[in-house]
Amino acid sequence: MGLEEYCEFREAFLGVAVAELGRQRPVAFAAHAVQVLGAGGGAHEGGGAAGGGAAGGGSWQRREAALFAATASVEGLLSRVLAPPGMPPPAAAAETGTLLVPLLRAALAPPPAAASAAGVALLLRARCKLVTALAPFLAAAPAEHGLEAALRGVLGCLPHAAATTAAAALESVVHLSRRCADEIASSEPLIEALLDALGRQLADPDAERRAALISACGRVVACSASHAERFVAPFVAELQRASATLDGAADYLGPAYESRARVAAQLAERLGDATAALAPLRPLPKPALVAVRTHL
Amino acid sequence: MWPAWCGIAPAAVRAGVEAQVLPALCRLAQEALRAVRAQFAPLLPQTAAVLTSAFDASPSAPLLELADALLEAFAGAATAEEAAAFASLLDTLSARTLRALGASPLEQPALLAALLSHADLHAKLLTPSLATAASMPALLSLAASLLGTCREPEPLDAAMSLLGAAAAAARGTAAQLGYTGTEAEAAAHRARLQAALGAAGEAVVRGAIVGLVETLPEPSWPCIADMVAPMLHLEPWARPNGLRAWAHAALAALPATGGAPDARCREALLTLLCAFPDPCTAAQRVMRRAPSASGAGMGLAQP
Repeated sequence: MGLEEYCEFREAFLGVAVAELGRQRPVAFAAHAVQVLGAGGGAHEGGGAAGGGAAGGGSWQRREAALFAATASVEGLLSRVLAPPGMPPPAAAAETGTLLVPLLRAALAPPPAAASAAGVALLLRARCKLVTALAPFLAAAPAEHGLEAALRGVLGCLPHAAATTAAAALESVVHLSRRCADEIASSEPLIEALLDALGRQLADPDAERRAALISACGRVVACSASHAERFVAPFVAELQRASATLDGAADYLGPAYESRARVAAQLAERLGDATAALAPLRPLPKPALVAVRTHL
Repeated sequence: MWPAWCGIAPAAVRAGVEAQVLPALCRLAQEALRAVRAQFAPLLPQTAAVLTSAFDASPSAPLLELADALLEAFAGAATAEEAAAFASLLDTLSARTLRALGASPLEQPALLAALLSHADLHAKLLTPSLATAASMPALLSLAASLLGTCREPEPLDAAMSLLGAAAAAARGTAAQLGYTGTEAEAAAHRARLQAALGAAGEAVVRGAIVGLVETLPEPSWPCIADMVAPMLHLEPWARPNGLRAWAHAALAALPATGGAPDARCREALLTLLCAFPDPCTAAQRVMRRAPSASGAGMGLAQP
């Protein structure tokens, strides 16, 4: 059984049971995870906490299992921490909520050096899944709850070699772009980190993954008045390059249709990237609108 | 981006890879249009030029969908000159598409549906452009011809929608149709649409009756009433050689299976069609109703 199949199997069969137990005892799994991961001494990869190296004790398997259970049960916990729109916070919300910050910090700690490659992949995947699940919590109070560290923590997992970890990281970035777009856009370092990660991931050969990340960045940029130009510029450059290549293709590639079709397929991919970039920009504010317009 | 965008279509046509490139190119233009909205206006002429030249070389549904997006973006505030430009765009696209469809339009259902949908959008968003387009009679005639022959849902739905929208436009007042021009202009446009719908009348009636019995898929049946109702009282349809004669001939030609429909049934259908109340008159009565508390201020009541 591959890593991906194992994760899917576990989520489908064990995840539901853990979630149900979590509804009965909302704090139990999160508290256990904090204990296992030893949140007190953790240092997350995004920086900010004191200390260094991997946090907590126990084998990587115990740590990963604890994170999995905490993530599967976190929905019940969030309902006791976050107030529905227009309602006062639930009783003891602040007390319960204090558990989530150390949990997140522990999940963002670097994996133990002793973990195997598959172990690291699973631990990082568990981190991304937890950040995805905590997106509403992060949106509620970005600075206090650690949005910056969480975003940096998942951005670092985007190029991971294990497909399941990279997919979880992408899902997490997409989720954060939906729940926390304004908060990310209002932080210069965060939006820069996001656009830097995008620059690195543009070489991803998977068009669907690329488009999802581009659209996630577009959603954040649409909330910013000053980053539209930086966001759109690489797509314009790529498009110009691909267009010039196609322009010469008929001459230098001669009658071989396969060669021209290959160039055309590359150009269609670049067009797809540019489309994914523009798609979330529909609610552009005026300054960003003008910036994008000048690039058209 | 746009200079590159404009260069891609001709390059793709030259390289013979337009089928691979044009769909993505059109999607990009549609997103750009939605992102910058009215700010796209300065790019409209060059975009339309690229669209028509690419379409001339290789007519395809994505290019017609791009034309839809341009119309949707700019029809709302179009001046008479811009409406004329859109009419010219419709003529160019129609001429090339009709040439490509040839004598067997049903062999390219996607292209056929895209053309009829584009014309339908003209009827709904910018009636003057459809009414003044030289291609309008041919488009209505094409739509009518599909009713009794086409089994593909997309072109069929587009054809019925176009005929219904053209009929509504042929019966509406300038105010109802959102004309910025005079009532005289609106009357001229109505007359042109009515003449074209009159010419297509026999095919519409025959297609609707034969289609209901033989070819039209069941979900399309209710649409037939929406489409035909505004046409029933058009002046060319009310003539002695109009609706009654067309319906009589179509009903008489219906094949009988096990004695059904019998003569009495055919006669009842004919009477029903010819005595059907005019929905447009009824609608106008509603429009003229005295202002009510809920209707006041919503532009519904006319003195």
